[in-house]
Parts: sequence; structure tokens; C-alpha cells
Amino acid sequence: MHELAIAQAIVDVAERYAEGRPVTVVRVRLGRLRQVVGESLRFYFEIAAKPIASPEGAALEWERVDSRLRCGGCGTEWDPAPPPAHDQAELIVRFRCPSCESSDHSVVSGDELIVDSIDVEEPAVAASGQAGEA
Amino acid sequence: MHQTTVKVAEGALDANQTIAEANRADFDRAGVRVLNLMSAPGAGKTSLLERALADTGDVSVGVLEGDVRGSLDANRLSHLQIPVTQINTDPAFGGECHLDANMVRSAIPQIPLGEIDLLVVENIGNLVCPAEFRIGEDARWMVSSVAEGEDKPLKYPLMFRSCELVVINKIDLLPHLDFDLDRYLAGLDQVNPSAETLQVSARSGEGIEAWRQRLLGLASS
Repeated sequence: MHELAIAQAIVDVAERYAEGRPVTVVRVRLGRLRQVVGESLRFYFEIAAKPIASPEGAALEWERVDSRLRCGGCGTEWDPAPPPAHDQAELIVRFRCPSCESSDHSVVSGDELIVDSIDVEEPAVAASGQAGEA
Repeated sequence: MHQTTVKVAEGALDANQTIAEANRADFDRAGVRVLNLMSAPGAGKTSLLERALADTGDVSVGVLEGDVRGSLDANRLSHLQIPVTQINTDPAFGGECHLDANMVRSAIPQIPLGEIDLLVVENIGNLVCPAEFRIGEDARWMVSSVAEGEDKPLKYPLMFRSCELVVINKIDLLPHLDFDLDRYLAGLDQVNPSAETLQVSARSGEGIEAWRQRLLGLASS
């Protein structure tokens, strides 16, 4: 269910940037702290992306971003959720500083849920004056 | 026909965040503090609100009820003589399993912001999706009942991590369950070491006065 909501949000962003052109690829960056299951996201993406996809469909490509926290007390950086063996593996998490036990931390990386780029099909005749109207 | 790559570099939830900030500005202008109250289905959000809002003292409280369908929870609160506004995500919002900033925005005209100091948004029962969507709230709390099992903080870290306060409900059931409170709290500490907790029972009344004061105290926070 989580992945359906995320897939719809990704498609909404892609749709704005596509400006009516058929979309063939959507590339996203997924932080590990988001707990997005890639295969599940792809399933829902294929449904949600139908209105903006090219006739051949739109592919979802994702890059995982490792999680990293920085302690507000002593400055130690650590990974609270090391990459699991596969997507479904239970996360071993630790949000308390491993050095000083402080609970005060900031997220350096791992919260990403970013649409990085999209590939679109340009109209066959791209006369510069009409490109925006296509 | 040829392909072009378009650089996007935009957060998938940025649009929601922008609307959440607009909501927050509207609430701030009206001097209303907003609580986003989340939980799994059946954890006891409505029961705890019924308990706490039976006597609100000199604080005026309104409730925004989020449900996929129907107004059963709003009906339960109707005897409290406080303004209750209902949002249904089915069919207007495709039966969504969470409230997002835009749904709350669409409900704002129906909320008497000028008459209240505190708005409690009772989110849709779900431990996953509501964690992702800010709605313009000042505080994010969750109700977690001991009947759900002690493993929940470790299974749903995103939700537990996104809340400042975890209200542990149904503690009157502890003698009848295999629930290990210490293990639950250790799990919560792993995913959200800053989280505060309150232990309550909407049924027996234990801890309810502390819950009531904490909730009403938000109005002057």
C-alpha cells in the first residue's frame, strides 16, 4: 500500500516534467530509510504510469541510497540500517549513537525519495517554434 | 522519433510538502495548533479522544476525522459538543489509506478555525502510509496498543520514527497477553530514541488524566 502511494507521487512528478510527451524511463533515488520495496514499487508504478507511458510502456529504474546518520552529540557517523541481503529482509536498525548513546542525530542520507530524471519521446518533427505545442 | 532525457531532481513528496506548508500557514494565522494522530486500525484513537475530550476545560478543540468510508468515528464523538469534520477518501480521493496535505486542505473551509485552539486530525488507521505524508501539523503522535504485539516498532520503524510521542494503550490487557513491555520499549528506543511514551488504558481509565493534560497542553505549546 505504501508503494502505491509512492508510485503515484513519482508519476505525478514525472507527468509535470514530461509536458505531454510519452515517457519511456523514470529514474528514482530511494533512500534505505524509506523502506520502499523495489519490486512492489515497480508493480504499482506500471499501473500508475499507464496514462503517461509511451505505447511500449515506461520503465522504472532505481538507485538505492545507503542510510547514514550523524550524531548531534559527538559527531560520529553511522549506518542505522545496513543494506539487507534482499529487499524483504528485516531491517536491523539503530538510531541511537553507537559511540555516545545520544538520541540526537541528523540524517546525512537515506531519506531520499527523488525523481532524478525521465526519458521522453520527442515528436518526429520538432520545429523549434512548435515544440511546446506538441 | 528520438528520446531525450529530462533532468528532474525533485522529491516525489515535495508537492505534498508545499501544500502542507500552506495548511500550516492557515492554521498559524488562525492561532490553531494541529495534532496528527496516527495508529493501526483498532488501536484506540477514537476511544482515547472520547475520554480526553469529555472535559476540555477552557481549551476549544475540534476534530478532523479521516476514514476510508463512513462516519462511525465522527458519530462516536458527536455527543461531545465539539466541532467534528469528516473526510472520506472513498470515493473523492480514490479510497486512499492515508490523509495527505491536499485532502486536509480541501477540508479546511469546513473546519471552524476561528472557534478552536486545537485541531486533532484522526488519521486513517494504518501504520505505513500516513508516516510519509505531512499534512501541516505541529505535532505527530501515535497510539500503539499492546494487543498489536511487541515487535511493532521494529516492523514499522518509519511510523515510529516519525512520531514524537507514542501513547501505549490497552495496558489493562497486559496480564492477559504475552506482550513484553520492556522488549517493546527497547525496540522503540532502537528506532526512535527521542520518542516519549505514555501508558494508558481508555477502558480502565489508567493514565487518562495524564493523556488529557498532554493533549490539551498542545493548545498552548
